[in-house]
Amino acid sequence: MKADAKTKMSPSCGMAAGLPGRLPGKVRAAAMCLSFLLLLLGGESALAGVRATVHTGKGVRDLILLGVAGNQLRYSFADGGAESAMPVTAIERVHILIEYDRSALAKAAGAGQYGTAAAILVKPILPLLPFLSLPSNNQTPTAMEALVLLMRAAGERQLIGDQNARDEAGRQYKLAAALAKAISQAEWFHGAEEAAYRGAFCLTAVGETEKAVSLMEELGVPAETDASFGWYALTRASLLMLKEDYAAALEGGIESVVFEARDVDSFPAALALTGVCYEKLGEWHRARDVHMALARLFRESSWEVYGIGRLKHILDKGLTQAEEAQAVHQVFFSGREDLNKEASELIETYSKRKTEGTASNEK
Amino acid sequence: MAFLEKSFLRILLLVYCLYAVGARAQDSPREVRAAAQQALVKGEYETAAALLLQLVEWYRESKDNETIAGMEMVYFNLGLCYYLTGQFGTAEGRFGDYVKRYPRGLRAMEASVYTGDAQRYAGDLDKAAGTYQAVLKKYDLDADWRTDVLCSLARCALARDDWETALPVLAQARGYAPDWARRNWAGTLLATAYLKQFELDKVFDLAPVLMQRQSFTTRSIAFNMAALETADQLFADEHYREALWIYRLVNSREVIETGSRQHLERLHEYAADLRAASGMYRELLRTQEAIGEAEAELEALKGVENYDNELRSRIARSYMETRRYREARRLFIFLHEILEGEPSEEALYLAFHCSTMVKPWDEAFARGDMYLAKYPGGTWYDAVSLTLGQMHAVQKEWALLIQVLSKALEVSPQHESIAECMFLLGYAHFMEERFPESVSWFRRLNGNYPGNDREEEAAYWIGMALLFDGKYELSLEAFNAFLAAYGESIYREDASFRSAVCAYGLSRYREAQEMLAAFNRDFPDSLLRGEATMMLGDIASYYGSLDEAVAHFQDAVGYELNIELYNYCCFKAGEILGDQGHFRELVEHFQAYIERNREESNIPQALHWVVRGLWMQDQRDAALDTFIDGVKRFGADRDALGVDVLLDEWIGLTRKLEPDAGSQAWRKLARTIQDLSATGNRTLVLRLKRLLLYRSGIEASEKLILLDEIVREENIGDASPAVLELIMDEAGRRGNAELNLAAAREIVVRFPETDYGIGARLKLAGAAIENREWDLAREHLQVVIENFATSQEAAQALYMMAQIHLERRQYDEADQCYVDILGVRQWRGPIWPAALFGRGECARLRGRYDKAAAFYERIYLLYANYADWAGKAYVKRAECLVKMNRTREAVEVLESALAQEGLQETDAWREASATLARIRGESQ
Repeated sequence: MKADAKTKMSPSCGMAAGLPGRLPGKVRAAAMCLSFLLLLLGGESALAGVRATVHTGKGVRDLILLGVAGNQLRYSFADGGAESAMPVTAIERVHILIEYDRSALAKAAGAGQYGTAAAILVKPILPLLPFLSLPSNNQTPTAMEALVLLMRAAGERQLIGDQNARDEAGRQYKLAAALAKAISQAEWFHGAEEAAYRGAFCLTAVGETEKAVSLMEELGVPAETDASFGWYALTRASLLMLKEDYAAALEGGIESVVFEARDVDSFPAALALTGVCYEKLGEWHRARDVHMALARLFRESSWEVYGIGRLKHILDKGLTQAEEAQAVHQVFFSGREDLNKEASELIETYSKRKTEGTASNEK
Repeated sequence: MAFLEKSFLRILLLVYCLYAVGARAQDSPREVRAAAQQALVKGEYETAAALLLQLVEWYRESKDNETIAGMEMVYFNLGLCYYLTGQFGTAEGRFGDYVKRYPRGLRAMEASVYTGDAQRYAGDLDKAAGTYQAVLKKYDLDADWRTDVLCSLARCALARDDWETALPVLAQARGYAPDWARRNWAGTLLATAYLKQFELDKVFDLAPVLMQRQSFTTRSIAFNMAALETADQLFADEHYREALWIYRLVNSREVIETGSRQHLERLHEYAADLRAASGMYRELLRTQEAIGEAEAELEALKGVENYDNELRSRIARSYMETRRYREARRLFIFLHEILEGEPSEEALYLAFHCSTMVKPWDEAFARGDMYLAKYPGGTWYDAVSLTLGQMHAVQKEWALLIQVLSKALEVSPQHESIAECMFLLGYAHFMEERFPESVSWFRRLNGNYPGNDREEEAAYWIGMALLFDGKYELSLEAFNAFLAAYGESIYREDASFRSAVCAYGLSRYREAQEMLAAFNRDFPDSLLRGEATMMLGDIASYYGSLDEAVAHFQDAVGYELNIELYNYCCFKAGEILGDQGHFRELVEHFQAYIERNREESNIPQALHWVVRGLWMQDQRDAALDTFIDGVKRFGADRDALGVDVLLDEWIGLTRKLEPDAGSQAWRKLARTIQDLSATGNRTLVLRLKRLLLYRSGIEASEKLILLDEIVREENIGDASPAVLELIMDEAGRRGNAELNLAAAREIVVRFPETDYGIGARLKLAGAAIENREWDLAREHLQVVIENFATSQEAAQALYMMAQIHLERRQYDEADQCYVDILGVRQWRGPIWPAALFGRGECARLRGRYDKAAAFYERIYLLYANYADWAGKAYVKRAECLVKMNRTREAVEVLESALAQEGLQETDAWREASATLARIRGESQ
C-alpha cells in the first residue's frame, strides 16, 4: 500500500500537460529506444507476467497477471502456484507498481523533449497493455500520459522534421495507435473515448485510412461538448485532407477549433489544418490570420516554427497584399487593423528571439 | 481564504477524531518514545502529542548532549502533531521552540516553513509572509521546498487581494516548480494577474499553459472571471481579435463545475491513500490545502450565473468580426440548435449572415431558406429575404429570386425593403422573359411608392420590358416619358437608342433613321454607336441606298460591336458588294476582315468571298491560290472547322477549270503538301492529304497509299474533324474497330459541339450497346437526340435508345422512343416501319397480342415496299394470332405473306413458310 501511494499519479499532475512540441533536443536515443519498443509490441516477451495487487470483493491479493482472455483474467499467485483465472467483473481495483525515472521524465517533458519523455514512460507501460482495461487500473492514466507524449513527439517530427524524422514519426504513431487501442478498452476510464479517437488520428497520420475510417464509424459522432469531440473532428478533417477535399476538411477542422480549446494538442493541430485548407482554397487572408494565431498563442513550440514559416511564405509572396473588401460598419466604426504589418512584426520578433537565443547558446 | 482555512481545519480535526487515544502514566521513557512513534505512524497525532509532551517534560532541562540530540525529533514531531491537529498557535510555539533549540537541526528549515504555514492558517498573514521571507533568505532550499514556500508566500498576498506583491513571487514559483501541477498553478495565477493588469502579451505567452484540460484554469473562478471581464472589455472596445483569443481561454461554467468536482474527488482519494501510506506529511498537507482550495472554488461557483452560451455567442461574434466567418457560422449553428426563442432565431440569422460571406453560397441559401421557413415574420425576416433575393440575382437564378421575394411580400406585405424587392422582382421577370409581369411589377413599384430609390431605373426597365415584348408603340411611349422625366439620368443614352429601336421595330424607318442619326450626334462616344450605325446600314439597305448601307456597315465595324454584330456588318456589307458586282471592293473588304482576324471571325467564309471576288474578276489562279494560302495560314488550327469546308469548295472549283489548269492546280497542291511536310505541321498536311483523295482520275493504288498514310492511330491527335471522320469511317470499313472507336472518341472529346460528333457518338453508342454498357450508350444517344434533334441521326439515336430499353425490358420507355420517331414527319422512310415494328414488339413482349397484331398489320399494309419489315410483320402477326387462339386467321396471314411477290425467297418468306408448316402441324 505504501508503494501504491508513492507511485500513484498526483491528481493534478501531468507530465504530458506541458508545452506542446518544444523543439527537439536529444531525441535520437529516445527514437531508437522507441523503435525497439515497437519490436517488442508484437512479441510475447513483453507479456511474461505483471506483478499487481488486485482488489476484489473477497479481499486483496498479490498476483502475477498473465493475460486477459475474454472476460477472464489469467494469473498466478505472486508466491508461486498454478495458473488460474477469475472473471474481470470480479475485480474492483488493480494496482501495479512500475519503475521509471520520474525526475528524468519530468525534466524531459518540462524541456519539451517529448521523444525522450515518451520513451521513458512507454517502456514500463508496454507490458501492461493487455491489462489497461482492468477496472480502476492505476496505470491506465499513466498509459494515457504516455500516449499523449508519444503523439506529441510524433506530431512535432511530422510537422517540422526532415524525412528521417517523419519516418520515425510514422513508427511512433503506429505505437501510439496500439497504445490508444488498449486504453480505449478501459470503459471505466474517463479518457477511454478520447484515446480511441486519438488512435484513429494516429492511423490517419500513418496513412492507414481504411482502418481509421472503419474505427471512426465504429466510434460514432460525439456531442460537440464532449471532451473527445476535438480529436473526432480533427481526425475526420485529416481524412478529408488526404482525399484532397479541402473545403470539407476546412469545415471539419473548424469544428475541432471552435468546440475544443482545452486540448493543447488537438487545438493547435486543428488550427494548423484549417490554415493549410485556407491556403489550398486560396483564402490567403484567412490563412494568414490562422497562422498568426498559431504562432502567437503557441510560442516556443513547433507550432510557432510552423506558423511563422507559413506566415513568411504568405507575406514573401505578397499573397495578402491586396486589401480585402470591408463591410461598411467595419470601415467607419472599427479600428482598422494592419494584419500584414502585425504578421511582419511577429516574424521579426521571432527571428530576433532566435538570433539572440543562438548567440547566447554560443556564448 | 477564510473558507479555505475552515475546510483545512475540518480535515485535520477529522484526522484527530479518528486517532485520539490516551497515554499511560506508568510507562518508561523508552516505552513512551516507542508509543509516540507508533501513534505517529498510525496518524494518531493527539496521542502522539501527549506522549511527546511527556518526553519533553522529562528531558527539557537535560544537558546531556546525547539526550539533547535524541530529543530533536521529539520537539519537531510535537510541533507537527499540533499542526496536524489544527492547533496552529501551539504548533507555531513548538516549531519556534525546536528552531531555537536546534538552529542547525535537520528539520530547522522544515519547522520554519511549518511555522509560516501555521501563522498563515491562523490568519496572521503578515507574520506568515515575514516567516516565509526569512526562510527564503536563511536556507538554501531545493526546488521543491522553494516552490512550496513561494506558493505559500503568494497565497499570503493573494488572500489580501494584493496582486502586485503576488506577481513576482508567482513568477519565481513558476520558474522553480519541479512539477507540472505547481508550475501550472503559478502560471494560472500569473495569467490572472496579467489579465487584471491588461498585459495581454504576457497572457498570450502563457496560453499553452492555460489551454489544457488538467490546468488549474479549468477550476479557477478568479482566472475565468478575470478573463471574461478582460475579453468583454476588449470586445466592447472592438478589439475583436484580442477579445477572441482571451475568450478562447475562458472555460465554460459547466467545465469548471465538472472539472472541480472530479478534481476534488481525485484529491480525496489521493489524500486517503496518503493517510494510509503514513509518513508523507508534506504531500498530505499539500493535498489537504488543494482540497480546501477546490472546495472553495466550488462554493464560489455557486454565486456565478451560467454564462456558457453568452460566452459561445461572444466567441462566435468575435470570429465574425475578424472575418473568420466559417468558424463563426459553425458556432452560430450550434447556438441556434441549443437555444430557444429569440436568441435561437438571432443565432440562425447570424449563421446565415456569415454564410453570405463565404463562397459558394450553398450554405447561405440553405440557412436563409431555413430561417424564412422557421420564422415567417421574424425579426430578421425582411433582411434575410432581401439578401436571399439579391444573392439569387447575383447568381442569375431568376426563377428562385421570384419564388423567394414573391413569398416574402406575401408574408411581409410591409417589407422593410419593399421597393428593392419589387424592383428585383420586375428585373427577374424581365430576365425570365416574363415581360408583362415585369412591366406590372415596375409599374406597381412606381405607382405605389413614388419617389422610391429605384423609381428612375424602374421607369427605364418598363420601356425595356415592353420593347423586348415586342410592344414597340408602348415601349416608345415609355422611353419618351422616361427621357422627359429623367433627362439627366445615366440611362438617357440607352433610352434614346432604345426608342430608335422601337421606331425601327414599328417599321417607321425614316423616324428611326433620324433618331439613330441624332443618337450618333448626341452620343458620339457611346458604346452603342456601332449598333446604331449598323441599324442605319440596315435602314439604308431597306431603302435601296446600297452604297450608303455598305458605308454604314463598314463604319459600324470601327466601333464597339460584339462579334455577332461585327460579323453581321462585315458579311452584310460583303454580300451587298458582291450583289452589286463590286468584286474588287469585295475582295479588299474581306481581305481587311481577314487581316483584322478578330476572335471568332469566320475566316473560311471570308476566304470564300475573296475567292469568289477573284474568280468573278477572272483571276482564277489567284482565287485558287487564295484558298490554299488561306488554308496554309489557318489550316494548322484543328479548331478552324471551316477550313475543311473550304477545301471541299476548292475541289469543286478545280473541276470547273480546263483540264490542264485543273491538273496544274492539283500539282501545285501536291508541291504545297511536300513543302508543308517539311514544316512538320501534321494537322495541315493531313487536311491536304485528305484533299488529294478527291483528285479526279486518282488511281486506286495511289488512293490506298494516301489512305494508309492518313488512317493511322498516331494521326488522331493532330487530325481535323473532317480527317478524323475519314479515319473513323475508313477504319470501320477496314474492320479496325479499335481505331474506328479511337477516332470517334477523339471527335466527341475534342469537337463535341460539331456535326462531326453525331456520327461519332452513334458509333460509340453502338459499341457500348454491344458491350452492354447501357449508361455509356445512353449518354451518347441522349446528346445526339437533344443537340441534333431534327437530324436523321437523331431518329437513329432514338431507335437505338429504344433497343436499349427493350433489352432492359423497359417497354414503356422503348415504346415512347418509337412514338417519338413516328412523330417527326421528316423522318418518314425506312425508320418508320422499323419503329412501328418496335411498337409491335413492345406490345407483344408485354403479352398484349391484339395490340401488337394491329401494329404488325399496319406495317405490311402501309409499308409493303419495305419488304424486310413487311415480311417480318406478317410472321409476327401470325404468331400473335396463334397466341390469341386465332389460328385460322394466322394461317390466312401467312398464306397472304407467301403470296406476296416482293417477299419471294426472302428470309421473311422462308420464316413464314416454316411458321405456317408448324402451325398446320400443330393444329392437326
